Amino acid sequence: MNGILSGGWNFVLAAYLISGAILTIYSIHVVTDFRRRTKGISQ
Amino acid sequence: MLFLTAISSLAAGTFYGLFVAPAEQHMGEVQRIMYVHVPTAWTAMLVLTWAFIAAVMFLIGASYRWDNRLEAALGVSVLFCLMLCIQGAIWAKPTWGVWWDWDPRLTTTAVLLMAFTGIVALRHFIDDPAKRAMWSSVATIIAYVDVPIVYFSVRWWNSLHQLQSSPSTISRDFLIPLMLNFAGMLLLVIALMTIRTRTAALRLEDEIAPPLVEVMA
Repeated sequence: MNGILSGGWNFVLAAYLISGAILTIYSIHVVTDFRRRTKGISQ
Repeated sequence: MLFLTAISSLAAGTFYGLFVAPAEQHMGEVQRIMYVHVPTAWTAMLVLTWAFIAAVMFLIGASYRWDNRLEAALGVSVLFCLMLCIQGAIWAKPTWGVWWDWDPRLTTTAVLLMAFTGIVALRHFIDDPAKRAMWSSVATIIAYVDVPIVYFSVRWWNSLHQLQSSPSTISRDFLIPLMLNFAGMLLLVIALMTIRTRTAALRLEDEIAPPLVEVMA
């Protein structure tokens, strides 16, 4: 124990992957919701 | 175009943060979480402030345009507060030894997440557009009181969470991925909120004047 952290790449990757997944899923949801609504109007 | 610029900026920031920037002296590789956590926090604060402005403007002007903007901002606010809590927990485990602690910064952020999730839920439960807009605007203004508390919590109380750093005091190698990711997130949020605002406007049109097919059925 010297107060310096070693390793931890798994935590770094988890933070990036989870954030990326959340942003991707929400972006797809927003775009598909908009398309569904505009499609509904045009029909 | 906005989406492409946002994705490019996020990709560049992520690459720089993971592979180019050096490991921090004390936290080592774990500190790289900062390049995604801090831009998330900045973006969340800006979106929450936009939600507050939209709520105030709706109450002043009684225009559904501001309610549509509020709806868009509320969804993105919840998303970013959730990301903030998850990233924070992942960073807390290797540095503090626990996933979660009822520390002032973490607790006030959790309150923020719960409050804005509640407002989104409230909007789903109310069918009348006028009441929905009015009540969610008032609730947003009340919930926004927590935003400055979150920001100043690390100064007001003893907190495990570190104080805010100034960009002028950190290394250029740390600042570049931070700013690239912040720019990417901000552009992505602007794109998402623009689309969500249009979707909210279309739904409102449907509610106020439903399509003839529905009326005739």
